[in-house]
Amino acid sequence: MYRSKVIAGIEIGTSKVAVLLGEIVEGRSLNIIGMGQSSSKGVLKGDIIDFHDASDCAHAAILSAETQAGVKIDGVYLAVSGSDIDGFPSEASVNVTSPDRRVSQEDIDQVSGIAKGRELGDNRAVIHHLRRPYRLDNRLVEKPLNLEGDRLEASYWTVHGNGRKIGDAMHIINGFNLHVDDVILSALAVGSVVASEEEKKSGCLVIDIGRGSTDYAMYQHGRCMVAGSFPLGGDHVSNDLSIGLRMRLGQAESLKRRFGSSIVEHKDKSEKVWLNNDFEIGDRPIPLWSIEKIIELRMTEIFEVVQKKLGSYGRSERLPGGVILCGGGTDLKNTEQCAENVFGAPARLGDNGTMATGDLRKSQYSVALGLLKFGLQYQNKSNAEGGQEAGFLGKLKGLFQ
Amino acid sequence: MAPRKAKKKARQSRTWKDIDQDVKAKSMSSTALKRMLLGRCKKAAIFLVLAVALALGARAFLMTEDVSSVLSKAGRSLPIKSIETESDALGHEWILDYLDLNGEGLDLLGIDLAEMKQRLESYPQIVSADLARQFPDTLFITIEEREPVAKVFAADIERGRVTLLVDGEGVVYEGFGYDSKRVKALPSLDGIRLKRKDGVFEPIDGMEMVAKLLSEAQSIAPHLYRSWRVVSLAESPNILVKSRFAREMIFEPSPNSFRRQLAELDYIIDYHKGRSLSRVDKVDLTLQTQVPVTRASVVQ
Repeated sequence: MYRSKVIAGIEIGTSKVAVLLGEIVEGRSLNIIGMGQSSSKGVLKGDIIDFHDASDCAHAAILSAETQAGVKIDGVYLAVSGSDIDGFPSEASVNVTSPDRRVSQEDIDQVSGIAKGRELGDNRAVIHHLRRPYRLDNRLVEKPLNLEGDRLEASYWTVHGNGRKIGDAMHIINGFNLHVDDVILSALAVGSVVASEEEKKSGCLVIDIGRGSTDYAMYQHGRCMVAGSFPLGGDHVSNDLSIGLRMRLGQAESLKRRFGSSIVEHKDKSEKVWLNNDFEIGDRPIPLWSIEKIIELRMTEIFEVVQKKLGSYGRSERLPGGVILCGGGTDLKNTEQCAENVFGAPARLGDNGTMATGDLRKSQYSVALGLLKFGLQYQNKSNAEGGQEAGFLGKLKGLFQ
Repeated sequence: MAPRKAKKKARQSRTWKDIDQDVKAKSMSSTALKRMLLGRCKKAAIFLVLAVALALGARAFLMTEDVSSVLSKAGRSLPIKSIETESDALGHEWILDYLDLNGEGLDLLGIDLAEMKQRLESYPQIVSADLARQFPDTLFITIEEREPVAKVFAADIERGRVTLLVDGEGVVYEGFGYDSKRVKALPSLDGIRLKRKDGVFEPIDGMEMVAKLLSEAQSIAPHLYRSWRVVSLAESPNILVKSRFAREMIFEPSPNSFRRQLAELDYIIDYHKGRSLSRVDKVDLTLQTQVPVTRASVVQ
């Protein structure tokens, strides 16, 4: 007998706070039972710059979701992204110790411990140790236990961030008298929803372009090989338009939404569009080519930054599964084409269809959906481990839950 | 090599899990504060309801369930092997018979000490009783009995003349287990009227003073006390004593002057014995320095 648990996936973004509530029934299935959203204040480029404004917005969204669902939240899965999220590969190798040269659990634990033991600088906190496939005598293996070999290598992609900034985001949730069960990089949450297992095995790249930051996660052999975040997003495109075409930021944002394209479609430089389209004083014609060119340059730059951060993992031959694009920044026309031009691999817009229907299929809920999926996986794992350890006592305890 | 490996393995980097999630009320938004207070109120209300329900349940249980029987059932694993008694005249066997403790298989936890104490103290000869369990198998019974100062004869329809004892507080009881010499040596009490109420004799008034006189005589003039046959309250509040030496000796009921009165009496007796005078009929010690002595020959 399991008690259902209500978990919340919360994304405190630059443009919005999105909250989704999921009910985990019997530790196996997930029902989405509530949704809350509010515009975001006090967040810039993914970082919290005004605690009280950010708290008010986040709490309003959480309260809205709780009221809609009519339940109390038991635990929170929180997404993080922003300027200071970084990552590095952590590798280690050990000689197989047993006389029969078969890998033991002790060998695995030892090599994992050494690989994960790299010390970080002051105020840095590890968010994830993303395990890559093991190598046993230079051959890739998923589970090396009991396999024969001489040298076992483990590799992790360690994602870390500024402990104080992560703490700020967590304390906003704590301020609503809720406990953060897990902190998850936005890109990983998105990747778990929009990329299929097949794409992850063959090699794919997930890019989530938000308003203030861009998150990315590259998958290969079914595992995340590289993931990170950097402070460039849709706002920078609007900002470039505003400066380049000499207009207010709001006007640039509007122009981007109405005529924006991530590649130059209109090569005729005389083709123009009206800035405000109200024919009043201040309204003026803007060359469409200029708009598209500025956007193309900026979007290309964003993709090139991702490619640079991926290093050899960004090469087209490593991305047969293609590039999957998500987030508000990819709402522009021809963004897939722009990404294909940079990465030399097929690109598509991400879709939450595997997990949700209706409004929840929109990419703005990808992160929150991904967080709930992580919560479900964590619950499954806990149940499996708890079941093995607790046995009869666990079942007895379950009766009273 | 092994310690080096262990050192490497033990190294741990800081993770987000190390971040303290405790939050102060001032960091909360008003919505969160309201929510938290509401939650606490609900918890307090639930706790209160549970506590009240528990208290009512316990009360109902105690009212409906015979707790003493439950306790006796629970304690049957401690049989009594030894009973130790401490008393004056009442013997060990009498106590066991009186309390029905002669049977086998008595349980130390199952016996009701309060009930036994009450039964013992209801017996007129017993002033107080203490009962105590000494685990694992011994029961201690300590009895304080009344100290008889005089005896009194009464007529009983079934048994004819019976001897009753009187203690210093005037309590009249049928003594059991006393040595017959001790009872015989006690002076008889006279000049009183025994009254029964609910089958028990009512205490005799004025016995406190008599007891003090007898006690004083016993301690400072035992040769006089031994000759005293009757103590009478017929001339109450004065105490009248009859002895082999004098038919009537009247004492003033003043504890502070008992020593003086006894000394005067002793002098008078010595005086008469030394001069071989006739038997004294009456000595009145109530007049302090003047002690009128009436001899038998004078009266005759």
